Amino acid sequence: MNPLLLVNMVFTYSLLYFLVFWMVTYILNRDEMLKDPAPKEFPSLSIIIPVRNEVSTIRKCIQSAVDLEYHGDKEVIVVDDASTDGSSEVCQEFADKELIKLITRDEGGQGKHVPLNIGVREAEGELISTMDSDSWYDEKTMMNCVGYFEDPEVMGVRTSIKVAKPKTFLQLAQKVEYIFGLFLAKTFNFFNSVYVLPGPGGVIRKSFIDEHGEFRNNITEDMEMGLRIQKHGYKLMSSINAVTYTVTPRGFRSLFRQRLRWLTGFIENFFGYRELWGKGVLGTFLFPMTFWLMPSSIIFVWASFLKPGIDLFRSLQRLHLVNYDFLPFLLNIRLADFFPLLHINSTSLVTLMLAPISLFMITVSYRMVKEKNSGLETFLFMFLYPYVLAIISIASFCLSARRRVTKNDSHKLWVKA
Amino acid sequence: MKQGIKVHAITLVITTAVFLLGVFLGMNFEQGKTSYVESHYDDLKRMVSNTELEFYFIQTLQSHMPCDYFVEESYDLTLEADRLAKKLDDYESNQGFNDPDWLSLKKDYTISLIKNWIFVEKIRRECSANYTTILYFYDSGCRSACEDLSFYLSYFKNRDKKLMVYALQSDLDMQIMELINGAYNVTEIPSIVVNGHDKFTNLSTRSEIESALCSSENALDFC
Repeated sequence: MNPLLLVNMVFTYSLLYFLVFWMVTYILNRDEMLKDPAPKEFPSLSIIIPVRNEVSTIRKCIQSAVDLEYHGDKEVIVVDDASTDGSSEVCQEFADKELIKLITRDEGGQGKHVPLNIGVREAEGELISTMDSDSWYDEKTMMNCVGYFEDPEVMGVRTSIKVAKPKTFLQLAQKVEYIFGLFLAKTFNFFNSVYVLPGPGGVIRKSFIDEHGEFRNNITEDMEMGLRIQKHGYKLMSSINAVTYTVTPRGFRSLFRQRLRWLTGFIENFFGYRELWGKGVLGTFLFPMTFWLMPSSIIFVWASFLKPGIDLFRSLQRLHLVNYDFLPFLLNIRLADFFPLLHINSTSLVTLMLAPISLFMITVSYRMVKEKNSGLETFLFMFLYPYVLAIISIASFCLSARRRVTKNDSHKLWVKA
Repeated sequence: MKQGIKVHAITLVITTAVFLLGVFLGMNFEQGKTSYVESHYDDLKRMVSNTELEFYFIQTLQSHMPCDYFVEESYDLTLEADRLAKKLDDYESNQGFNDPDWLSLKKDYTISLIKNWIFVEKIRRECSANYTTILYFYDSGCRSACEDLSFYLSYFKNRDKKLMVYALQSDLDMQIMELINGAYNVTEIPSIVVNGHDKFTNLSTRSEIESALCSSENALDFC
């Protein structure tokens, strides 16, 4: 058997197994999926918003923190990391409000962890919620997630991040991705396998930071903190009803930059937290499977997309041999000439088995978060978006292999394009 | 822990079942493709046999040779052979599980193609038909040179329908291929034989190929 074909088959089986595992977890626990524990206590809360050049969203972000319903003490710490696009002026508008502490830095761009940690040191609350400046809270976000902290083993809770007003094709595909991600994150709860504490609205106990250290200089400091919680044997939970909203990249270039950072961060944290390998479902299944699916998706893209694309390109390139006189070909073209581009063969039919499983999970995800699904966004997510992500996977593996991890490197990836 | 094992067990069963269903569907699809191409091959074989029989009948029992009719048949046969060749090429490049079946089909197709060429050549000579036949020899190891020559021949064929190209895989393990290779002393790949008698090798540029094709006694439109 062709080795590429074999890898393709193994990839398909792996991805099928991965999806079915979480689907079965959902089915066995579906009564619990939509529930978040009702809060009885309301520890004091500090919301930290690091800001760097987000003038279009920062007002909405800070206002949502101010308007956030919470039945305990609350403060909002805005750390302006030397913004130059007018964000500083917007932040100043909130400086006099009672709940707000505004800290302005003269020099910025040393990485997101710096303004975050400045906020942590100022924080007086028992719980800290970080909020990216391109994201914002729903009014009920904290009311839906604070109940988890009544379990003393819980050190962190991640919110359900939704895409705000998607407009472009890529944003529509990301909308599905995020909703699907909410579904997966909630199923991860049942095996204590959540390993990321995302920037938009993630909540952490301050005592954990005091004991185990602040946010580190890491490309994905949110993943690093999540893995640190797991490493020390605590719980990191995911709330389905604690919603936050974020603005996602509109075009390929900005998406590429974002995902390059995420995937590179994943690879580096995967190796940085080797002590988690082999422990629990996270270490025996989720972590290694995610790591395997990334490079093998490259083979999948090669076999089903890049190779036919390269063949087509080579065919078109040959036109130079006849001085680009394509008219004789065009006049004799038939519909059947396009069929090879579909690249349908027995192995692609096996891969197509992923489609019904994925479709089922996407449908369930949408029902869980009570969102409407247009066929277009699902189509984009299932049949076009994987190629985009696989190409980014290739780049991130190359970058990670060549990159020397120094403390000064991470900030370059934090600053947005 | 217990739920973990339970979930893994159920997942293993479901995943394997779905995967095997995909494999089963894939193999059926491959079989369907083979059957589809085989049915087209059967059509071609029938066409060739039918036309050969018509020609034999005319030659044996009739005095008048309906050349117009047979020239038209030649064009139809070659067109059908060409379509089948494309299907075989496309499916070969997208092969899944059943390689040996394709090889067997390809050999059968090659026999029909050669019969087709012999008939078309016979008509060309007996009826002084104004088309030109090209035997194009390639092999499985030939890449760039064969792909380029194949491209040129497709281009010229699209420019003038009177150019009839028959692509033969020189290294196919068949006695008829050995005979033809020997008859035309095919030692270099790629090679072409124009109208069954003029052999050309080392054709790499457009002008060389055009010159070879235009050496035919029948004028092609692009000459």
